[in-house]
Amino acid sequence: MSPESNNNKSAGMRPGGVAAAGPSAAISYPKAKEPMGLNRLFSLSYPVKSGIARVALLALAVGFEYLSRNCDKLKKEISTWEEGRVFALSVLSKGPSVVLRKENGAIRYIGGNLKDSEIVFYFKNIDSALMLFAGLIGAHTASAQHRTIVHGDIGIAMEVLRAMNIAQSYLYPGIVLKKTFKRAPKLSFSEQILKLKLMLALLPGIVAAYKK
Amino acid sequence: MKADFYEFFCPVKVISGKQALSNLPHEMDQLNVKRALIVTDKGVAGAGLISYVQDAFQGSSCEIGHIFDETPPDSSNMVVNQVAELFRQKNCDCFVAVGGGSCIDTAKGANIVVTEQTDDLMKFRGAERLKKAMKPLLVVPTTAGTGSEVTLVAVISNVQAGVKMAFTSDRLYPNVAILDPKMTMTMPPKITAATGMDALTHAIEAYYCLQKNPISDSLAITAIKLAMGNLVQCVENGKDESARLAMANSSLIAGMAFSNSMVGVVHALAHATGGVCHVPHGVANAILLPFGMENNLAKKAAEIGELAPYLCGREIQGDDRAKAVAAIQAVRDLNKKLNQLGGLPNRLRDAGVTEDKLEAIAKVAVNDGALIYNPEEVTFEEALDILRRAF
Ligand SMILES: NC(=O)c1ccc[n+]([C@@H]2O[C@H](COP(=O)([O-])OP(=O)(O)OC[C@H]3O[C@@H](n4cnc5c(N)ncnc54)[C@H](O)[C@@H]3O)[C@@H](O)[C@H]2O)c1
Ligand SMILES: [Zn+2]
Repeated sequence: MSPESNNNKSAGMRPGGVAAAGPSAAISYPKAKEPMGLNRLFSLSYPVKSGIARVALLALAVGFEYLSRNCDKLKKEISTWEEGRVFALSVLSKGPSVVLRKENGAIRYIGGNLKDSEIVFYFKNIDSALMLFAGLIGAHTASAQHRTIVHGDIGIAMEVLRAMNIAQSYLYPGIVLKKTFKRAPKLSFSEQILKLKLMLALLPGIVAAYKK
Repeated sequence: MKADFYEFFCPVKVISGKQALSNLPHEMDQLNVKRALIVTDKGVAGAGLISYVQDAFQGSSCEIGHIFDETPPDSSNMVVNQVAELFRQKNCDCFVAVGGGSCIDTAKGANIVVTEQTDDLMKFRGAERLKKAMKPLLVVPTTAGTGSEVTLVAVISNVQAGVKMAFTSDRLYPNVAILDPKMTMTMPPKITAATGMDALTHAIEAYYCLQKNPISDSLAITAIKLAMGNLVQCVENGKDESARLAMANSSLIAGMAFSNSMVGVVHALAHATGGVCHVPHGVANAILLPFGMENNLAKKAAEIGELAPYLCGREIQGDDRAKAVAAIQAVRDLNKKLNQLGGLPNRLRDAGVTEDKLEAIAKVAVNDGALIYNPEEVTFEEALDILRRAF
C-alpha cells in the first residue's frame, strides 16, 4: 500500500472526496448547488416572494377582468355562472389573496377578503404559488403534486378552473403554455391582438388594483 | 418510474383472512370505544351478514348501540344527516360500516357531521377541510370494489342536484379495515363482476393518471394481478373462499393506490353516469374503462403498455402502442366474459342509459374533479364522443 493511499485512509476520505467522520479528519462538505435560473426565486426572502406572488395574483385578477369583457371564449365560459359568484386565490397561511366576483356578466376584482368566497383555491405555501406563477408547472400539475387545495363545491371549482385556464392562455407566452397545459391553446390572429392589448392594459391595471 | 414530487398516506390497519371479523370488538377496544353504530343496507342485512357481526360481539365488553340498515345506493346527503342524528341519539362512540361503498361512504359522511357538530354536510365539500379528530371508523367491506375502507374519499349523492359530491381529507381514512371472505361470498354474480371491475379500474387509472407515484404503481400492479387471477373465478363460483379473499385484497390494494394517485376520465364519466342515470358505479366503470384508456393512448401508451403482461397474462411483442392496444383489448375481453358469466352490461344502453341523456352526462362529467388528474384534456365534446362510443 502506498503512503498516499494510507494517508487517505487515515483522513477518512472516500473515493470522490467526501469526508467520512474520524477523530482527526478535516471535514470538507460539498457545497449545496447554487440555484440557477428561475429556481433563484425560491431562495429569496419571504417578504420578497410574497410581494411577487401578490403582483402575480393581481395580474391574474386584472387579466380576468379585462378578458371577461373582451374575450368571447371567456364570456361564453362564464355566461352560465350565476350572478354574484365569488371565488378567490390565496396563499397559505398568511400570504396574499385575490377575490373575484361575477357582476353584470363580467368578472370584477373585489379585494383580498376571503369571507364571502364560495370557492377558494389555496396554495399550500409561497413556493408552490411561485412555481405556478413562474410557469414552472401548470394548474393540473399543482393539483397532482398536492401543492394546491380547493375549498368548496368541486363542480363549481372545475368551472372556475376552465375560466382561469382561458385567462392564463392570454397571460403567458406560448412556450410556457406548451409546457404547463395538457393541451396548449392555439390563439387566432385576433386573439393574439387581444393578448397584446391585454399586455398594454396590465401594468396600469395592476397599479390600480394594488391600491384597492 | 421516476416521480417529480409525490405524497403518500395510508394510516389504516388492515386485518385480512378467515374469521378476521372476530377481531372487530378487540379493535374497538384498542381504539378505546365501546358502543358501535352499525351502518349497513337492506341487501347486506338480507344476506344474513349482520348476524355474523352480532355474533362477533358475543363475549366482548363492546356492544352494538344501533343498526341502521336504510343506506340507499350511492348514499345521499339527507341520509348522512339522519345517520349522524342517530349516532348522537343512541350514544354511540364509533361507526362500524358493514357493506359496500354506499354504506362505507355514508358512515364517513355521518362522521363529518358528528365531528364537526354541523347540521349540514354540504358545508364541508372540497378537499382538506376537516381539522378535528374524527370518531373511530371500522370498516367491514361486503363488496370487493370500491376500496373505500382505505381511501380518503367519501362519494355522496346530492339527490336534489343529481350529482355525486366528493369529500376528501386525510381525516376520512377509516381506522381499521377487516377483510373476511365470508362477508363477500353472498354477493350475486352481477354485483361481484361490477364491483370487481371498479377495483380493476382504480388500479389501471391509478397507474397512468397524473398523480401516479412509485408506491401507488407497485400497489396498482399487485391489485391488477389479483383481480385478473380471481375475478372471473369469483363470478363463476361465488363460494370459492380463497378467490373471494384475493378479490377483497385486490380491491383494498387498488384503493390504497388510487387514494394516493387519484383516477381520471373513466371515473369522471362514471360518476356522472351514476348521478344522472343511476347506473351502478362498477357497471359504469366497466363499460367506460376501455374507452378511457383509449382516450389517453397518445400520451400514456408506455404506461398502459406496461400493464399488458398483467392484463393479457403473457408478454406482448411490439412497441408501446401495440402493448397498450393489447392491454385495452384484454379489458374488453374480460368485460365480455363477465357479461356471459354474470350478466354485466357491456354498453351504456344495456345499463339503463338512454341516448337523450348523454349530453347531460357529459355536462356533469366535465365538472368532475377526477378530470384534473386525467393525462389528456377532455372537453365537453370529447366526453360526449366517448359516451356515444360506449353507448
Ligand atoms: N369512497 C371511495 O373511495 C369510493 C370509491 C369507489 C366508489 N365509491 C362509491 O361507492 C358506491 C358503490 O359501492 P359498491 O360498488 O360497493 O356498491 P353498493 O355499496 O352500492 O352495493 C351494491 C348492492 O350490493 C348489495 N350487497 C353488497 N354486499 C353484498 C353481499 N356481500 N351480499 C349480497 N349483497 C350485497 C347491496 O345491498 C347493494 O344493493 C358508489 O356510490 C361509488 O361512487 C366510493
Ligand atoms: Zn371507483
